[in-house]
Amino acid sequence: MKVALFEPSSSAGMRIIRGALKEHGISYVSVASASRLDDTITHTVAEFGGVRRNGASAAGMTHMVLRPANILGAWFFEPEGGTPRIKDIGWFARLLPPADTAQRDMAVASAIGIMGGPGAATMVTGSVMRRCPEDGRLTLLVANSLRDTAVRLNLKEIFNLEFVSDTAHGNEEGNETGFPLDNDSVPIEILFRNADAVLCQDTPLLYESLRRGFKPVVVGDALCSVVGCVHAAPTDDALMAGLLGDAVRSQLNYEEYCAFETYVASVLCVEAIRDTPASRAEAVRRLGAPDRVPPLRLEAVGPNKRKIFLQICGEFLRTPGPWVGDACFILEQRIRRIVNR
Amino acid sequence: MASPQRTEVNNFRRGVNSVHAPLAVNHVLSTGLLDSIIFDDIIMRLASRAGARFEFHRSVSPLPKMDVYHYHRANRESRLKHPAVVTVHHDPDDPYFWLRLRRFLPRWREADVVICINNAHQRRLQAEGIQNTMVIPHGVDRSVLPVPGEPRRRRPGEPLRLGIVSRRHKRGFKGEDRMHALFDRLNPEHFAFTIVGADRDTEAVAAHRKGFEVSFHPRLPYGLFGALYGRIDMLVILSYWEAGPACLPEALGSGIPVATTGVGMAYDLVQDGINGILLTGDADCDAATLSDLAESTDDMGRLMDGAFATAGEIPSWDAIIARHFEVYRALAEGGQV
Repeated sequence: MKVALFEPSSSAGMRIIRGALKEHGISYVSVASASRLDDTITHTVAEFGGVRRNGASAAGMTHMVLRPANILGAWFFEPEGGTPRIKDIGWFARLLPPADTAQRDMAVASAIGIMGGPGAATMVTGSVMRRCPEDGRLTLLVANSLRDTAVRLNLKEIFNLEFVSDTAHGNEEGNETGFPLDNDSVPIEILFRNADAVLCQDTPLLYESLRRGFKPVVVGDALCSVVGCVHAAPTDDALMAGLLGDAVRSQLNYEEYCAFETYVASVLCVEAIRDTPASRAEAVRRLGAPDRVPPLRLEAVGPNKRKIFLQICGEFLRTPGPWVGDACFILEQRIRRIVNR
Repeated sequence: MASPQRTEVNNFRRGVNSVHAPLAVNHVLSTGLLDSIIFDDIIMRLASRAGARFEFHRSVSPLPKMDVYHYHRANRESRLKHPAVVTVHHDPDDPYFWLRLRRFLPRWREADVVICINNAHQRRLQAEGIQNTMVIPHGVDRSVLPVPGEPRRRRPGEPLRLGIVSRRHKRGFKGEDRMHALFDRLNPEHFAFTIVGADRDTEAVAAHRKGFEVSFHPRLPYGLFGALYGRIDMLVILSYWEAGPACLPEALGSGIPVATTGVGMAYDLVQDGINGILLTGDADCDAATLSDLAESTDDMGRLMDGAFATAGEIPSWDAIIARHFEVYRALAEGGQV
């Protein structure tokens, strides 16, 4: 396995996993969405004993041209605790294919980010890295709004710095800079492209990975595990060992992806069609016939209803975007309440 | 053609040794307002195989001091920076306002190399007096769509499953009206549809209401396209205007016969009656042709055999990318392409 992605949080499941990794001396990379960045730093610092430089990470993020639900980047933590050391980033670099220099540089840069404090992490993970062909040093493209932060953190010691406009994703000549990051959602794409497997909890990252065809290992209680599109119960030692040893299939097959589609559709059905006359009338209008109105209860969702559900969730599935994960997450919480009622 | 002097100047500006430094290739998209999945896909495929030989930069406007400029929307440029490669991603005869031929011709004449996706478009450009053309088609990702080990066989007793793999375009150049006309004319007992593509729910709903069994995926991870093609008996393309489309080599490379109108790469890859059929675009005629196929196990079997026999001839993306690299290298060195 080349890289494992986590979504850190305060959940019990993640604490168990982090504890197990720490116990076995396994380093890992985690990915946090912007909406969870502050939470991530807080709990990471609490568990690993690092020093939180300041409380401005959230404020720093507001300066970035990033949609709130975007995944910001990778973070590197030492299993032994303490402030991560720069020499350890080589571990992450080794996980990535050596041929993919640009991606590796991006990942390494993300790892370095945490060492400069939250502000630097925000800057690095929202920026573009490339290696300077002349001297082999990494060039960090920094948003203009973070120029002062970069200088204060003395990032010049680590990078060649190049300042770019953060309003048009371009440099001062109005051009985009660097390849292949042309928009703010690409960092997570790069990580997914280089990932052999995904570990996560029941969060937006779960849905982002499913949409990209991964069969993630889910920590804790994921509602969608009932449809068979995830590896559940990662606290199982054999499953964990198999995953780390590349023995667990980490890609969805066609049937599993269909199960995911059905699941998403059913989630949306519960949200989209409430049991009210107006909602049902709207559903009838969209579906064309009263008998095609899908059931409201999750248990009633079956393969033969799938086509109908997909009519409703067309907007949901056909438009790629980071909002999908958050929407799923929100809807799922509502379903939980309905199912548990 | 790029002159040796110009290349030397570029290298001098970049301050690098041309023998050891990677070639800097600037993919110029000419607008930040439009997204193109196919552009992104091609550029990402090129970048993923660049290694230490090439350095790719994507931008809206051309960047300074690049070794090669590759334009994807040349019609939006007032002049090209050299050495310039231009790819013709659309049908030159497409009458759409923004794609009219006269908008492109000056830039194509200015380019050092014009890459056409198919031979018909190359001939079209040559008829306009543009001689610096070459054909580099779309390819097949063999890691996802390997050459089949045996010919496909139709599932006995099941309807003929037709595949439609394209996103919906509002201006209808994918032949949306032809799709609906086919739904009206085909027998739901003899046909089923697998439809993949953003915004294709309109067609999925229409087919469903006509009584066809429809499997619809608004979005499918590319890694599952092998499974997708493994589940259809024939790919259907009804477009009015195309340069590719990309699904054509994908299906043929997977041993799946294709029924297509005479667009894009169709005349290069489809041998009528051997590995596919060329449709007329007339709904009655095409529906009759497809209905005959659905009723004849032998005819469909022959097409599947033909598609299997020619599947290995479809170029892989690796080969296609290697040809792009040859072009970049030759232009950067000021040589003949």
